[in-house]
Amino acid sequence: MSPNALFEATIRTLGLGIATAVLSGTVGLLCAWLVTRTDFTGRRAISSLLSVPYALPSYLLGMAWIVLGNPTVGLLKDFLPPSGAYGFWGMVWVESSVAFAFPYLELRAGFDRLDPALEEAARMSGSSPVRVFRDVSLPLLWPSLVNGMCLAFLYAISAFGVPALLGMPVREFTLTTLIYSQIKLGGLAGIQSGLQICLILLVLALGALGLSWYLTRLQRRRGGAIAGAKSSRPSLVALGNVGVFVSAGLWGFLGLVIALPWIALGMSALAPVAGKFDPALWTLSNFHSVLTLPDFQNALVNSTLLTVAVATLVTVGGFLLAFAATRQKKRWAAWLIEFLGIPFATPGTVLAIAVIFAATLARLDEALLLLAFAYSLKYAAVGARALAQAFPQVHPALEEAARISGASKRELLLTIWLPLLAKNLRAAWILAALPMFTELTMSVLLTGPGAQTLGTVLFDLQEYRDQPSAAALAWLLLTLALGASLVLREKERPT
Amino acid sequence: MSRLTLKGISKSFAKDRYVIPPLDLAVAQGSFVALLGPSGCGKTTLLRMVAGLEVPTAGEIRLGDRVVYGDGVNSPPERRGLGMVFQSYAVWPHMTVAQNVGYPLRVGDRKAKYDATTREEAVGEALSLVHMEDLAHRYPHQLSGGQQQRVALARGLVMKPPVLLLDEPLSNLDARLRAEMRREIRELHRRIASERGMTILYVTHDQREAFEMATQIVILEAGRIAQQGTPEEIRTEPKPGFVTEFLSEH
Repeated sequence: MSPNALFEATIRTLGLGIATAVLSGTVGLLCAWLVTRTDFTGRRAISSLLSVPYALPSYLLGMAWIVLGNPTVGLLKDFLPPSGAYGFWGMVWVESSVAFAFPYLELRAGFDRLDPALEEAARMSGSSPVRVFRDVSLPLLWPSLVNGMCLAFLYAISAFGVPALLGMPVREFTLTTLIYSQIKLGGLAGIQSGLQICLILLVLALGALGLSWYLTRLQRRRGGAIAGAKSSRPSLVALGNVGVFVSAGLWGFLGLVIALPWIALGMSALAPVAGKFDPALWTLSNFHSVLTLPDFQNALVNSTLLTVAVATLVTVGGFLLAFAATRQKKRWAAWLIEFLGIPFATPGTVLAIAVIFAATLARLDEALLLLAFAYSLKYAAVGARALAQAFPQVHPALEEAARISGASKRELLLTIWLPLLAKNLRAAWILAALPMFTELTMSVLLTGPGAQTLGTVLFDLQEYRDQPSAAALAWLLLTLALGASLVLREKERPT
Repeated sequence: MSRLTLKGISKSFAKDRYVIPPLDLAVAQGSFVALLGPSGCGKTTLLRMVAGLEVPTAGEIRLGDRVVYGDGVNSPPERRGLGMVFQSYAVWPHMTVAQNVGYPLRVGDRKAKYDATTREEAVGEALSLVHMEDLAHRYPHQLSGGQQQRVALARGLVMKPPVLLLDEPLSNLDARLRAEMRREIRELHRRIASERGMTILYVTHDQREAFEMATQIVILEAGRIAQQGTPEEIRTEPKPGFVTEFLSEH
């Protein structure tokens, strides 16, 4: 590896992160304002559908955009630049089509918390809705915006799948793909130079993480000043005739980032040969060939076992930890939940290299065990955080009544909290299981012969062997992810 | 002629479920009208419809002889030229006291009418009305709740609106401060009403506020006007039933 290549990859990664953050921030801000402050028809449905991409693995969308934007046979090749979906802007687009959900969710929550009277006072003073947005909403909500953009940045620089699918074929490496190519060289030399690159990636990630952490504190401190005193519904900006176009535009956007990739993968999966999309030739042979592939069957068993075991572990662990932190006010538990945020935010590539390094020292060579360890480390925060938020939502009197009745701590957990939080537990489990089942970034570095996962089998198929079969598998996984995220969306609704 | 006229104004959030059934109300120029009633009687909704923050289901709202709602007209809040004070103060935390108060003069139609000097004068005048001139350069977080409410009041007055709307402005203050503010708002109204005929529409669930400050009291029950009159009339001859019961509760 030449120093030049490293420098180039660093700059490209930084550029990818910044471009994704800016595009995501712009789209997220616009969407959040429209769904919380204007009155177009269907805003409820759109508001919740806009959070769906959050749960979609971006590399599946990357594969879809390869189908759509392949320079020679892509469905949309005529509308795209000569390089199609490949290259820097292709990566920015695909990453942003998922990452916009971070600033969107941050800002939607921000708008919901913001006292509507602050904005209404400006309108009563004579400001137009746009002016209110500029003078009041934006100055008060910028920490949410920048925080969301930090998360989008972190997401983009940590991604492996999309740069591997859309960047590597045109020799545009990012730090994660460069680490991968170094490790695949094998040997101690590969691990060493991989570790070096990890350090740079870690510095970038920590920078973004630090900023995000600071802004979250800032917003929490200012929270009291801007949160509403009584829960009043904000008066919505009447869009009138423009509302139809806004509604159509947002449905179109949802179609572009969710439906179109799903349809494209589906068509590719049904095509007999890559690039032949004629419905008359549709066949299920790709599904058949992928489902009967021994590697796939092996991987399905591995991924299912890993997901069920680790998701259950982090959910149960998170439940106990959240109970200790929120109900028993144990400092160590609260700290541990905070601390788990660090591996969660650490790029998967860095985490995987650290696990490999530790395993080498410990002379451990059981790939599935390493995967289970890496998954637990990465996703422990998901369960703990979701449940730490759920506990305080239950009125303390419900617990107190049980204590007065004489329930022990164990009985309290089993008879009060477990049934009361069953829905939250299920949601936390799905939230943790979903990314594990399709995990690629860490798995691609940690899997060995005989220990494939669904992500790595899919990656192999796409890169080296059989693209139509890859499309079939990718479509199945994307459908599963969409289904699960729609289930999660239902769970969210009452709160 | 009345300053503010509501004709057949109603509001329903679901079909045939009226928060406010059709209602008529005329407010005379220079008067101080308190909309009094228990929580959930629709008084805040009524006020917000006058402000333009809530769209009525039917009816007409007139300011003087200008129709601001009805007949296909729905003038947005920024074009109605009214002052408003919110229950939660709604003082912008990212602006100083002077910037908060001067804001209505920096935006919309009034931007052209004021330059830096005239704006500063108007802000100074509004701040002196609420005895806050010394704190002009503070930020809201450096102020007490009562001081923040004074800032909100000054912001509502600075553009010399024909009608000032107040939505439970004192309910977040402690009892002593409430008494002080009641006195001050009454003085303020007497002074400004005689100078330029400003009209006040004041929403409250607190009888004391209504009887101490208002020149007219409108008692609302489930969106209907149960009784209307001067404090004296209502005190001496409360209508039997809801009004008598409501007044005896406190």
